[in-house]
Amino acid sequence: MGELEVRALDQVTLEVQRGELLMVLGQSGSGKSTLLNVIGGMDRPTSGEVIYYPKKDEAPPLHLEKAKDSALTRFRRTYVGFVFQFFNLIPTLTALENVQVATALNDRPGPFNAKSSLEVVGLGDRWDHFPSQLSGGQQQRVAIARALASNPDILLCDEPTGNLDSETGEQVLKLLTRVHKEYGKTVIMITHNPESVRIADRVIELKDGKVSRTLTEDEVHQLWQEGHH
Amino acid sequence: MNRQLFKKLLRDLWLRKGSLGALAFICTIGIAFLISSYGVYFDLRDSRDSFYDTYALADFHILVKAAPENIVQRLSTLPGVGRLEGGVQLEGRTEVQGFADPVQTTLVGVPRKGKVFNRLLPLSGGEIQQLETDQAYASSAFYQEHKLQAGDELSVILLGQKEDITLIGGVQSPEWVYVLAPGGGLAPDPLRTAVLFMPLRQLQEAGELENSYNILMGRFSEEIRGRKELEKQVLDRISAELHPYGVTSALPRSQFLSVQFLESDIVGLKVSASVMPTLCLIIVAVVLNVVIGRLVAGQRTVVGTLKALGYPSFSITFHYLGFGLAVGVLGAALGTVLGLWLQEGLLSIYRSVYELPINAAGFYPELIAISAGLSLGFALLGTAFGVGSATRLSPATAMRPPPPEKGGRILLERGPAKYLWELLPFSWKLVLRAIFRNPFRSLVTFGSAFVATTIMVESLATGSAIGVLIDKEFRQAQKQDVTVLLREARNAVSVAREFQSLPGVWSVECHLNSPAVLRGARAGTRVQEREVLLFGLASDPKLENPLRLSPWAEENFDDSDDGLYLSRKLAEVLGVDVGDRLEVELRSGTRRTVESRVLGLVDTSLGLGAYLPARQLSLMLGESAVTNKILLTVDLQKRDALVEELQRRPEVLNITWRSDSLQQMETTLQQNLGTMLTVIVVFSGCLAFGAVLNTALVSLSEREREVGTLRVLGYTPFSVTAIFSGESLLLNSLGVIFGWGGGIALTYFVTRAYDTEIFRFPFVVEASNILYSTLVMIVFLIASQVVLGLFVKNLNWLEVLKIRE
Repeated sequence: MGELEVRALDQVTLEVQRGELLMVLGQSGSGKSTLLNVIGGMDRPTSGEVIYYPKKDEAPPLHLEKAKDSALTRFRRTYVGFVFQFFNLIPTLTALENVQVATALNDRPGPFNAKSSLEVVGLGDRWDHFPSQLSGGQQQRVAIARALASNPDILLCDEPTGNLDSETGEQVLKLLTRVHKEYGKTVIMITHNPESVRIADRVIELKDGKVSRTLTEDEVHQLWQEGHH
Repeated sequence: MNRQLFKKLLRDLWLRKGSLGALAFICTIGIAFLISSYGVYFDLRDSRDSFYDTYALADFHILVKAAPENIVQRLSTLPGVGRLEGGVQLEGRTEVQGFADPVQTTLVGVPRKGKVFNRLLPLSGGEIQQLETDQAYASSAFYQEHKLQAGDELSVILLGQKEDITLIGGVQSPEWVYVLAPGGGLAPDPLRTAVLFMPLRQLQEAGELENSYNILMGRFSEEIRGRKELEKQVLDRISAELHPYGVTSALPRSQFLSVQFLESDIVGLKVSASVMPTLCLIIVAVVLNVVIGRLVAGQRTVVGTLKALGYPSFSITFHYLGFGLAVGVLGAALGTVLGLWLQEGLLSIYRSVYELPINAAGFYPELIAISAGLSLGFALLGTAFGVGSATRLSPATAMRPPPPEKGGRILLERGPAKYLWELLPFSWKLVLRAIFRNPFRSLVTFGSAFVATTIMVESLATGSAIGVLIDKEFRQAQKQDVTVLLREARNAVSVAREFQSLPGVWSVECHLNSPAVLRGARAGTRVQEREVLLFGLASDPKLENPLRLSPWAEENFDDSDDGLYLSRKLAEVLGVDVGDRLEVELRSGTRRTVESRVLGLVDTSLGLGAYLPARQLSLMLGESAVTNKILLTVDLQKRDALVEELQRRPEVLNITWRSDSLQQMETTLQQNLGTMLTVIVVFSGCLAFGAVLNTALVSLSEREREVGTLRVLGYTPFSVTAIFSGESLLLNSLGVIFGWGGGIALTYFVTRAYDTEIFRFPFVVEASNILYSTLVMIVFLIASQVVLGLFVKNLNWLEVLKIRE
């Protein structure tokens, strides 16, 4: 018996505009994380195209599906900031050093340095704390600061509130909205949480590896209401 | 590596200090073992070479009765002779104030202009002083053992004449590096044996050798030096020229007693230096590989995150190589320090045995480079494997926890074995599955116990073999209390009668020793020859009888035997077997060359012996029943009276008490061999301890969640440790049991490698060697499990369980 082929993503066509905040809903196993990984240059699709268009004159369009490892590494370093559900901070580095791990690689000028990005997320006074000395919400804010500090074009957030209580989750959402609005970052966020959908410009749903639908404004509102109650 | 990653590295190292420390420990042990073993070998070899070279050890020594001084000039012109020097060597006794026993003394003449060959190195440094009449230098061990000082007076008895001499100081001579009394034991006894260096003229007069020499020392010409065949021809030629002056011995340097003893030790060191540390270092390397590989593999999520942040694989790999580098550097540094310390300690043992200026422990950068390179290399290889498996994955995959371990049934769960499997308690099922699913790691654990046990059994067996050797040679083959050597052979009957009447003497046995050259005469093969001592045994030898070591030879020995019994090694050297003919060139008495044949072989362990009835030997020498070696059993209460009586007789050359020799040998062995065996046993034990601990920690780190689950279910740290110990216990038990076999095999190999003309170690492995090794292994294994228990106890298992799957 041969191995079963599992299609995490199947025939997905998706276009994301610069400055958009796209929310991706779906049950576990629907392919959300794979979609995010493919967009972020962390995985390659077996077929199809993934094209990233940098800002005007900055660089030609990048075909991620056929880029070499080194090109993908440069792409992630330059254009993408990641925020993970489990924060993925390095436990033996302080908050500031965790942020510096990202800035050390990036020579792209931006509005923040490592310290000021921590201030933006409200942790200016906790810069010398180790992850184990921070609450879950604070750790996630460090992760956001890390994603921001290297001045990426896109923030990819994989269930950033999934591991937080609702109040802390709310704070993190507010922070992401602020980042999106004030700094014009493109944000693609995966969520399980219906409450988070209200901040989105657009909400799509994945089912069995396919984009099953784009939610209407009413549906979004209804979903938020359900979640809220 | 940027600053943040460097900080991360430092903190990671600090956090894992326990397990990295365990790893650095085993690395230290392996490197220290290598550095000290090879270091001692190099030091001893180099000290010897430089001493022989600087102080001009002669290429050959020829002993004669008496040859006129002017013969030196004549023989120097012979082709192949580089330079010749004549000298005088006499046997006498020395009385040291406050010391009851006579000191057997060799007196060596020093010409006014100083010696050409076998020059002297004063203990106090500087140049040797010109000796005036009644002044002497003493051999260093005797000088130091008796705490003598320049200006001290000694009495020397030479041919019955007593002379008082003044000491100038202690010296070392390349000719007298290992000083043994004739007829004494295996170990030097500096309290009872000495070499005194006195003015040549004075010794010539005292020894009735005016204008004559009784020893010729020389060097071959540069063209033939090192070419054994040619050297032999030249030596034969000189011996032939000296024939009229009574050649008693003509030896090339390789057969000097000191040279042979030192060489055999150096060869032994080389064997042990190349076998044991190499085995240890292989284990260390493999353990490093396994542990570091696992450590880095455990950081898979961090590797994934760094990749997601845009770090290229090579810089992540470089960062993690820091782990291997840290362990390798720390291990190499500590191993070097420990190794040098140990090297110095071991050298001090050799300093106490050999009268050789042994340099302070040498620092051999190439040795340290090799050992550091090896440990670093393997640590880095392990890192590369571990990190490679994580960096090869896409960052998305790397950030996900690894897929659950392959389930599947192991071999024991299939086929008929499964019925037995069902009977096992769950803890043993866990243990067996862990062993079979990690075959490489299991092999490393097994291998380290195997190697450690092998080394221990072999080392202890060598200790036993030396004990057995002493027992055979000095208890089984000898039963006398005293051996008295005479200057000249005398009528056996009258000597026996005379000695029987001495105070405290119970029984007397008269033997006869005589030097000779034996030549194998087997047709078709190249003739081999050796200068040996022929042992003429009394007609029914009850006291000394080496033939007792081979019952067949003892039973067949008969006073009327016309032939020789040879030690097996001598027969091998000469290329002869029982029944073969031999040529015997006598070096005393008639100095005839006679034909003889091999009657039997004897399994002796020391030297090259040839045995025949004393009566036959007397006949060969042209005498009727003479003796020059008298064996006595005595009433030990009357020892002092007997010694006094014997000392009074000028014909007595030497008196040896068997109990003194035995005690001296056993004390020396206990001190020296004991120290070395302790070092080796402790090292092997530490090696096993380190290896077992490290592999157990790897197993623990892989199964932290199992530990957490068991703890949640209510298992105590002790019961959890017990489950993990099962894995170590099983693999180590197997390793130890196979190690018994390994030890026996290695002992056999080392015994063969040690087979020299002066020593043959009997192949002995005693049950106690195996038992003791096993006990030591058990102690070190328990120690490693105790440490493992501490790790289990301190494991934050709640935290472990919280980590996402």
